[in-house]
Amino acid sequence: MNTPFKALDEMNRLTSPFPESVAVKDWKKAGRKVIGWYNPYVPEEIIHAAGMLPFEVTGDNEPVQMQGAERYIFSNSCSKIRTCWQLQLDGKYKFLDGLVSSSMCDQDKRLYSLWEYYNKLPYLDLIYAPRKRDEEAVKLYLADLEDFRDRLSLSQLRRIPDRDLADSIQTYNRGRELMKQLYELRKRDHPPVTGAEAVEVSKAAARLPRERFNELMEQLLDEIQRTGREIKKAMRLMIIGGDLHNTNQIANLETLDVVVVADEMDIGIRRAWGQVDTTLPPMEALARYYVLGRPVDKHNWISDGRLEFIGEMAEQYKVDGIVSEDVRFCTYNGWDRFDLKKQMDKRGIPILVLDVEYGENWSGQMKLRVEAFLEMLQNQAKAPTGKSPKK
Amino acid sequence: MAVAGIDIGSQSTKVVILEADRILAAVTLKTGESGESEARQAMEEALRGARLKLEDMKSVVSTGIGRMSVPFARKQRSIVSCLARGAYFLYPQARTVLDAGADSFTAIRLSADGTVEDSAVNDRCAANVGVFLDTMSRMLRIPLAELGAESLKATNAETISSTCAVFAESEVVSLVHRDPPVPIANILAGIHESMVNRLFGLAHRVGMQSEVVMSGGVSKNIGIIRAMEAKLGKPVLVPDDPQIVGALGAALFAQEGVS
Repeated sequence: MNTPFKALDEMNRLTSPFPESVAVKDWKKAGRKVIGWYNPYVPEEIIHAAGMLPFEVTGDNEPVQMQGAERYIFSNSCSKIRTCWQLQLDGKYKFLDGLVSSSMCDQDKRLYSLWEYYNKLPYLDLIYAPRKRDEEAVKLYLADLEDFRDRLSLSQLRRIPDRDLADSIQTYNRGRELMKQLYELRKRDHPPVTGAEAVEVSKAAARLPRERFNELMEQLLDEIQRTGREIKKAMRLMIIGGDLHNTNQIANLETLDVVVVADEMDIGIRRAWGQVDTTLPPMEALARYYVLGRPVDKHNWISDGRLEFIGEMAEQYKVDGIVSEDVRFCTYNGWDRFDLKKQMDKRGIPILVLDVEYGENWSGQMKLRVEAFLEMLQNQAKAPTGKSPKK
Repeated sequence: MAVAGIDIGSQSTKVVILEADRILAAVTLKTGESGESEARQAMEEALRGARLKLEDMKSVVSTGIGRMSVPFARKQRSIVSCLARGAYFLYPQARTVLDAGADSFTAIRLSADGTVEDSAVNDRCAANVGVFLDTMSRMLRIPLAELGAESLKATNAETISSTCAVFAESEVVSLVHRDPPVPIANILAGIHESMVNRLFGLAHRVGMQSEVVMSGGVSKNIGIIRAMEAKLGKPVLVPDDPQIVGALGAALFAQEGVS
């Protein structure tokens, strides 16, 4: 039985109930504003520098029943945006004072349009998200970020000063550094945290005031060191694919003799990656970091960088296999599937592709596939004794 | 030293009792939603056939969707591993196993030594599983066991939607009521071809290397087998009792566990 970490328990306490949590209520009680976002090209630092709480709009550990959301959205919408919209219809996100998204994904843009049309918040904004990783893209994105900063400043009737941006960058950088330390510990033969716990940390990073998150991360790393906790499982897995906010799914997966040690999702390793360059002017630093400073994501023009990253991470974390959770109707994951399989075959890393719906719990069918996958990984080490048939 | 393997599917429970490389008994019981009592019932019938008692079983391994509800099973193994093991035992030349069951279709690629190299399962869609044929059987009022043989009498296979079982149903209704009427055999041939097209698509995800073995209840349908062979351009191996392959594999794992 793994001794729970106090810091993790506190993160869970502060981020519960989902989404209008203890932390959100305390924040609002102090008269402060919350800006929702749900796309990796929305720089939280700018919202933070404006004195507001950036809060990631997502689903969570319970599957959300569609009760009307589908009136508003076409059937080929992914279950993630349907979940978010249903939560909005259920009034769960009524605490938001604004919403910011980006053009990274058409599904995300449709969700944004719904909010714009049916639930116009005091502040709504859409940022351009580049599909290439080069200097031109940084320039374009920076120009749009400057406009975003202007619009956000106007909405608060206060220009967000560079000094505040620089401070916010420091604060977020610190969080990234701490999360990176946690990720490095997961490279150990016996990692100190489960995959489910690591995703809970990643969720908390986007749901708590960053300063508080950083404090709790420091406590967590300290607890890890003091307790020397080790997760001892036979197999190590990496999870890739769409967003995964239902940690019960990973927790259920980890009831098998397996631990998830790495990931390549929008939530997860991308939050722990790199640092915004504090030697540059803050806006330029942010633009460079968000375009060039993180692992290639699935919406980029060419996916090669992403697939290479996945392969390298799989090798660095010494995973026995990869589980790709492809949310239905997420075309990006679907497109990459073919090349992903080829590249992982070249590296000799087995991959299991699961067609899932966002937020679903671990079904018996999914468990069946994963068990079969794990048995295949184990059996590949030995051969059965075949005998001639007799009846 | 006898062992048993039990495969609990969504419509039937299968038990194989094995001693060395001899199958002492193989039972398939149509049980519908199966749980512990159905597992015991099937086990008892198999034991009667082998003239043995449960205490004589050195080990029991369970598999299938109901594998967790067999308290007398020592271990559980995934259906994919068991199908691979059972098929390889019967046909050491098998390199692809296609299991077409009541509510799922599984494609498995084996290496030369019988280990699973890759597998794909499609159980989200009714279009390529046994219940589709059940529905067709009811609609056309032809017993399920005769569907295949009737389809072989076709002069020409009608083209039927390969995408969706529900769409296929409405297409069949319109074919039946067409004026002049379309021969039922031709409709049946179209139904079988449509299903095989879907199976083929999934099977190709793991590659279709020879020899191909088909198992599961749907492979008792000669129309499906012929359509598959026509598509593949080569024969398909089908065990005498294709439904017990999973249970046989489970029994082999049970044997391995005690040897």
